[in-house]
Amino acid sequence: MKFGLFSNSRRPEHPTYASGWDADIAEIVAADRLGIEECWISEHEVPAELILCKAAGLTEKITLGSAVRPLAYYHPLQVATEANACDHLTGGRYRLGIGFGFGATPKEMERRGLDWSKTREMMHASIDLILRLWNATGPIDYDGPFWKGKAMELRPKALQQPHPPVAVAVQNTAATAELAGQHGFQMLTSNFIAPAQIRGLADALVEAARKAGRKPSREGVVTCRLIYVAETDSRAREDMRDSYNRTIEWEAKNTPHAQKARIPPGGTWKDIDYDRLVDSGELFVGSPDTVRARIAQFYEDTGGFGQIMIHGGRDYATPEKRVRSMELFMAEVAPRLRALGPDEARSKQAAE
Amino acid sequence: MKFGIFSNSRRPGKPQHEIWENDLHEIETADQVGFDEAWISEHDSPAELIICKAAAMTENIKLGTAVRPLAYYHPLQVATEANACDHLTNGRYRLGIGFGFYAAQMERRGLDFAKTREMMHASIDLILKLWNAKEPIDYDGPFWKGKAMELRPKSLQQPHPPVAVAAGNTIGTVELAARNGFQMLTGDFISVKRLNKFNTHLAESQAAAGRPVERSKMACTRVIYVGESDKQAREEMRDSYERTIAWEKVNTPHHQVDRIPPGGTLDDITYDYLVDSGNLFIGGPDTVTKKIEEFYEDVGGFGLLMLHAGRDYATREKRDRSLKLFMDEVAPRLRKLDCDKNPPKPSDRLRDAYDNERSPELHAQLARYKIA
Repeated sequence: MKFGLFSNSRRPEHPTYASGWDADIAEIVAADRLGIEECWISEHEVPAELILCKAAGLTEKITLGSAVRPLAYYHPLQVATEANACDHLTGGRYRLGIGFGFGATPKEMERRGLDWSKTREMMHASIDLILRLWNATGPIDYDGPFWKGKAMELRPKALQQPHPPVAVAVQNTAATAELAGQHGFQMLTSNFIAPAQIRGLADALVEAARKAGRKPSREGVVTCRLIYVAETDSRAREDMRDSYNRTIEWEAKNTPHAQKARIPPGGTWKDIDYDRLVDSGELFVGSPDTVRARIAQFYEDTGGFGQIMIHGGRDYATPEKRVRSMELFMAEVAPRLRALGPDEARSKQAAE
Repeated sequence: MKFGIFSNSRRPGKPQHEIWENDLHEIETADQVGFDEAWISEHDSPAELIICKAAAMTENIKLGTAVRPLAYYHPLQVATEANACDHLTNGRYRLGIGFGFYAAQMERRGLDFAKTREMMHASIDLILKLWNAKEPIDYDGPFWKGKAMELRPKSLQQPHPPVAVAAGNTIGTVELAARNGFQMLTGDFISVKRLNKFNTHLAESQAAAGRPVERSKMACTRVIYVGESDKQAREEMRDSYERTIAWEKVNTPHHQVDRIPPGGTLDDITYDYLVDSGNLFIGGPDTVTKKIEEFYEDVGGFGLLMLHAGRDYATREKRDRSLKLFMDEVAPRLRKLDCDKNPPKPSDRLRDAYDNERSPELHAQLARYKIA
C-alpha cells in the first residue's frame, strides 16, 4: 500500500488565496519530508499546475499531480505541453489527473463560451489526442469538432518516457473506471464515496484491464479518507471537532451533491453529525491503533487498493496538529499497512 | 534606474530540465544579490510555470512573463492565471504580452496567423475589462465568447498586476503601451538608434493620450558581463559568445539586422566587433558603468535595465560572479538616474550612429534564412 496526500485547497477562512495556497504548500512540504509518496492537487478555479510548480521548488521526492484538469477548457496541445513542462520542472515527478464530472459545471463552461452538453465528448476527444501527441514520432495534423491543429508536436518532449502517468477521477461512472483499466491510468476516488461503490468501480477497472491485455490489478486504485491521528482517540476527536463542524456546514452549503452518502437513513442534512461520522467509521479519527484498524477494515470493504490519500488542503485542527498527525501516521500507522498488496483482499475474499 | 534580468531560456544542447534548472538558479542568484525584476521568456510552454517554481526560491524579485502569446488562450484563462500567479508570488507577478509570432506556432493550434495581431488587441482589451469589472461580464467577440465571466481569484495587486508589452518593430505597440501605462520591453538586439525612436514615440504617445510622460516605462536589455578587468571579462565571454553568434545566425537571423557592421553581411558579425562597437557591455566595473551611462543618454532614458540571461554565457560560476559584481560595483553608481525627473540631454553620438534598418539589400539577405 502506498500513501498519498489529496490537497483539496479549500480554506474558506483564509483572507487571501495567497495564504491559503501557502498553507497547502506547507502541508505538501511536510508530506514530502515524512515520506508520503504522492500528492494530488485540486484544480478549482486555477490550474493546479501553478501550485504544483511552486511545490516543486520546495520538495524532493513526492510526486505531484493535478486532480483534476477540466480538459474541455484547453486545446489538447496546451494540456500536453504544460504536462511536459511540469514534468521537467518537477524533475520527472509530474502526474496528469483528468476528470469528466468535476469542475466543468454548466456555469464554468458557459463562462468560457463552451457548451456544457458537450463536456464529456470534449474530454474523451482531448485525452485521445493527448495520448496521440505523447506517443507520436512525427508532427500530427488534427481536424476535430472542437479543436484543430497543423503539424502539432510537443516541445519539450516529456521527461518520463513514454509520458507522465495519467490518472482519472471517478465518482459514479463505471465507463470511466473502464477507461482507466483499458489505458492503465490510475483511478482517483474521493473521500465521500462509499466503500461498496469503490469496490464496484475497482472491479470494473480490473475487468477492463484484463480485456485490454493489461495486468488485472487494483494497483492503480487510489482512495481518499479524512485521516487524523493523535496520541489517543479522545484527543484526536477533540482536536478535530471544531474545524470539522465548520467543514460540515461549508460542505452542506457548497458541495451538497457529494454529501448524500453521509445522511443517515431517513434523515436530512441536519443529521450529519461529527460524532456520528467518527463513530460510524466514515472519518478515520483516532489513535494510531484505531486509525490502522479503520484503514484495514476499509481495505477489506473496498476489496483492496494501491493507495490511500490523506484528505488535506483543509484547515483541519491547527497547522501544527496537522503536521503532527501526518508524523504519527507515517511513524505508527503506515509501516503496519505498507505490506498489504493491492490485490490481496480480493484474492483472499475469492478463496473464501 | 532599476535592474533586472531577462531570462531568455536558450541553452542549446542541454535537456529541458537542465535548462530550467540553470535559469532558476540564475533567478535565485539575481534575487539574492538585489536585482529588482526578472522577465522570463515564454517559448513553447507558459513562463507562468517557471515563475511559480521561482516564487518558491526567491523573496523579493518581481517575476514577469516575456511574453505571453495572447492569441493562444481564452482571455479569461490568461487573466485567471495572472491572478493565480499574483497570489503564488505574493504580489510579485507581472504580465508581459507580445505580438510577434511565427505562422507555424499559430497553425499548430489551428489558428489563423493573419489574425494574430487583431486577436492580441481583442484579448488585452478583454483582460483589462475583466480586471476592472465590478460585476460579471458577457462577451461575444469574433475569437472568444463568455457568459457571466468573472475572475476567481481576484488579483492580489490592485487594481491588477502591472502589464508590459514587448516592442520590436511596430509603432502601434508603442502606442498601446503609452495609452495604457504599460511597461515597454525591448530586446538586446535592437540598435540604440531604434531604441531612441521608440523612446521619443513613447513619450509623444503618452502625452497624446493625456498621460504623464514617463520614459521610465521603457525597459532596455543588453548583454552585460562584468569581470575584474576588461581583458579578463572579454576572454571569459569569448567562446560562449562566439557560439551564440553562430546559433543566432541560424535561429534568429531577423534579430541580427542591427548588429551587422555598416555595409556588411551576417557573416561580418564577430565577437570583438560587438564588444568594440559597444553592442555588448563586457568589461570591468568601470567600463561597464561608462557604457551603460552612454547607452542611457543615447536611448533618451529608461527605467529598467535588463541583463540578458538564460544563456550559457561563460560558466555558471562566472555568471553568478558577474551578477554580483554588477550589483555591488556598477548598479550603485547608476541607481540615482531618474529619467522622469531629469531626462538626459540629447546625445551627439546618436547623430553618427549607423542605421541598418532601411537597407533593402540586408533584408533581402536575411529573408534567405529559414525561420523555424
